[in-house]
Amino acid sequence: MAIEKVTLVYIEGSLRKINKTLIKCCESGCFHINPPPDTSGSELAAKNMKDKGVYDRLEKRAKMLADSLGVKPDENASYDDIDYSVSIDFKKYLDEIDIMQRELTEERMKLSSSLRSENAIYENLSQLSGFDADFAELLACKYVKSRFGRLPNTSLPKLAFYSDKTFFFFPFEQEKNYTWCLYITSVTEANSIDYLFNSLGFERTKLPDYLKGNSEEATKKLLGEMESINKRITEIDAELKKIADKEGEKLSKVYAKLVSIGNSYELRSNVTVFDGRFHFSGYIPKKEQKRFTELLGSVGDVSLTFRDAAPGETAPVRLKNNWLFRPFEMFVRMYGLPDANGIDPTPIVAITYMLLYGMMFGDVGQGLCIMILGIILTKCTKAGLAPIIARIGLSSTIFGVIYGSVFGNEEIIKPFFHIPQVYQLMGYTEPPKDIFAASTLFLIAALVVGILLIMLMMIINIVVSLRMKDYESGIFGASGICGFVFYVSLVAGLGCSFALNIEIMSPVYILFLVVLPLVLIFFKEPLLHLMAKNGIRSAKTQKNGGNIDTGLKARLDAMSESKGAEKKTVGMFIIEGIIDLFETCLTYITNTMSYLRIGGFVLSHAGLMLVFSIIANMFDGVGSIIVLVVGNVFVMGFEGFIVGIQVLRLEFYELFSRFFKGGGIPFKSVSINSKAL
Amino acid sequence: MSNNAVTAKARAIHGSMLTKDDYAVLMHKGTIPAAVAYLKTKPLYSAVFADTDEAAVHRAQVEALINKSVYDNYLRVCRFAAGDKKGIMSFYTRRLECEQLTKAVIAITSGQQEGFIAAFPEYIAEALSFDHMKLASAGTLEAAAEVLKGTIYYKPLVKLMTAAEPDVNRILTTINVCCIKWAFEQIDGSAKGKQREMLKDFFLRKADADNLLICLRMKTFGLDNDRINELLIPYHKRLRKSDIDSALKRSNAVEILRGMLIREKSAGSESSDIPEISVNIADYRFFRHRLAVSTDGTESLYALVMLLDAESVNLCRIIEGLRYGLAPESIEKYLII
Repeated sequence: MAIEKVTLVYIEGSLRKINKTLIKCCESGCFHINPPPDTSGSELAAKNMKDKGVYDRLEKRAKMLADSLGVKPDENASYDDIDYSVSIDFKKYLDEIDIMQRELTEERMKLSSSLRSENAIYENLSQLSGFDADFAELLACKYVKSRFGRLPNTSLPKLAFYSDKTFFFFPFEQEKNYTWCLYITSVTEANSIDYLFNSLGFERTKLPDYLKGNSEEATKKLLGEMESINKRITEIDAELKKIADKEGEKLSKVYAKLVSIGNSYELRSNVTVFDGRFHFSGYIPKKEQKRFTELLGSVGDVSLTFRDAAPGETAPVRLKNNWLFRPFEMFVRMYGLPDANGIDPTPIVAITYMLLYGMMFGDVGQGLCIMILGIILTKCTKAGLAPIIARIGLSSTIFGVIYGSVFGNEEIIKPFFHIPQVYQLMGYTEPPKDIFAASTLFLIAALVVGILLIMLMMIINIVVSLRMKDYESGIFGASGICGFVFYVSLVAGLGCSFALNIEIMSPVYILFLVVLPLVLIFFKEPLLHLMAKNGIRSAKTQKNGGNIDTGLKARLDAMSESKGAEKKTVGMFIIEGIIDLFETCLTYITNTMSYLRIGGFVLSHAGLMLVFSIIANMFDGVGSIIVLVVGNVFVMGFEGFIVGIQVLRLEFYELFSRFFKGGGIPFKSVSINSKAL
Repeated sequence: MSNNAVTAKARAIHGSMLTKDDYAVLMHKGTIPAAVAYLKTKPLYSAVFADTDEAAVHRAQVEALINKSVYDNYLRVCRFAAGDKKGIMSFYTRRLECEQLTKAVIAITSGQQEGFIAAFPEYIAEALSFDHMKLASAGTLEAAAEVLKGTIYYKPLVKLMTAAEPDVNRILTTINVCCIKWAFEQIDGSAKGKQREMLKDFFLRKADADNLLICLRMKTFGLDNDRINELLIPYHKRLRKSDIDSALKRSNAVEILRGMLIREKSAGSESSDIPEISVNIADYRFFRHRLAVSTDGTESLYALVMLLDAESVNLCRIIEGLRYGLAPESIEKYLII
């Protein structure tokens, strides 16, 4: 039942020491930092150190520069040799890189664009072959301007609107969204027509001056030009690579440092600055107090104040269990972490889970297979379920030995109900033929297990609740002392009557052990207030200040107020009480009956294996073996999985709900790459 | 198709919208081609920019394509609309129609029809209830009124457009009124109860903001109160006419209206000092919330379109900022986020 004890530590110091202090906290590996107090409404001139926008921007810029140089920055890179410490240093360095690469990048972009254009011209020159003119002549026209390019198809219908304008339009190849075209206009109108086509989304492709002759000659010339552009692009790429080779590593380190600084600012947002000194608080495991003090002491000008977490304070929770139980912490976290003052239910979950799984899925062969699978998965993967599989496999094997089942075969090992003392004790004169003949025995055993587990959970709840001064749950709750007395008395009474033929349920027994607990549960709220008035206050009442009055009406009013509900009348109180009581009694029955599934799954496992055994007997030789193998794999996968879910259901609904009080917050040790600070 | 399908599709598209990080990257791109290249990698824009040559494309063309993507996405969701909802779900087409009619009226009165046609979004041409080419060809508002014959605009506008001295501002307000009136008729015919109220509230919300902005602008230009009152949209929700009247009568009316705009639309949340952007931010947050919680298809579609619209405004502002070489921090102030 281990929840590691933690202690609260306030850390205060000179602002100059903030970085070192945070580094030490991170290095300790056991410091859970608290969010800063809200000082917005106070008169304290405190502010939180949150501003990280500058470094965010620098980080993005470094990333972009790295991208443009083709460097893949690694945010985990080591940057011990980067001695930049303030934003201006980083900015200066990034500016230098920017200057180095910008000219080349821009030239490359322009050349790429030219290449694309020339490629487009090249691809579309064939469309111009019908245009029987010399390009050189066309471009050299003194009074006529020619524009080659592409126009969005959506703009084509709009041209009709400008039919009175002085231009000739020649469409060529049409693509999905654009049409390649040429328009010709007079020199005097060129500006206005260019403006018009620009506003229509015309993307001009400048026909190079060197294009001469007809399209064939122009194509040849164009190819030569494209080759020279490609050559220059290759040269630029080489130059960029040189820069990348020279600066890439440093740029990556600078980026990593900027990322780390950004992360450190996340941590600094928990620090409050007041009067030139920083303040923050957090939790450490109590056993680490000495080591933590020594570690922080090395910083200097930092003071630490320790105190134990006060009742009602939300301290973080760190579960601590041995190797056998530890994997089952996953199920506990799934349900919710326990309160810091509560108990860690992991050992209970681990024991009951393995026990119930083994009971419901007991088979030596299959259990061993599951266990081996779990061990392999544990070695090869980080799946949290893998070690649990190994453990439940072991449990299944042990129960398989008890049931005498090996891959469904019940003749290899003698089952426990074939032992003379056992079957004679259970009232059989000869050993039951098979497990089905002993089905009643299994169902009764399942009920008994369920009853015992419910009682155990009730006892745990009583202990935990009384320890936490939650008298409502510990004394008057369905799983409190009253509920426990009622449940045990009823079970004992009925058990003796039906199983042992001993009548113990006399009127006095019923009145004091069955009716009285129910009456106390019914009047729990007035009784709690009465207790509070006499100084026995539950933690909740203490928290609320506990305004007590002796009159019933006043008590009802107080109850209503404490719940934040509407005023409760006596009538409402009685009706609600009866309904609550009915629900409580019903829950005892349903929870108990719920455990019948244990017996049910024992029988269903035997039934499934019997089916595959019968099918296997229909085949000879290899066929029979294949059916048995497939059957066993199917049962392990299908039934093993369902049983796992059913046990988890029992844990969460029948066991956890009786004693578990969640609401804990996980203990998270702070960590950043401290080199950045 | 069902209500749920529209809501699901709207939310799916919302999930593909740009994030704050995307905006930050875009603002740091430095050039329009680099920004366009980045947009090409984003799911909502990859199709519309697929054939674009980022090195050659104009700013206006980029903005037109961004706006087209809003309409395309709107149509993608509309396909899932049930038959009885098609009417109200065409609200965005109707809004774009009103916007184009407004631009046409301004173009005709200022002789800028060529500019109107050049900037006209051809993708909505088929959905319009009038012929935009004929409208642009009309040399006068009187001739333009003839083009509008048979549309919902003709009756309310004919007198105003054929007047000896047409009042352009009143014509523009009347176009707005036609749009709201049409929307209310569609809502009454297809929605009931709370859903009807919420959908109407969307339009009234815009009317309130528009009225405040009209007051602020016109007061800044020095128009008298009676004239300003004539230009207001006669639909009110939270902002009563009496509130506007009393604000207009004050000596420091401009400051009061400015304050009202910022407070009215951004109560309890961080906002901008620029009234228009403050309104946009408040609307953005409101519609983001509505899209997250609403189970009504029309409401989800409306909210999505408003969010897509806000995103297109942001992108246009980033493109404009890059065009003029503004620093990322300066562009950021104008973003609706």
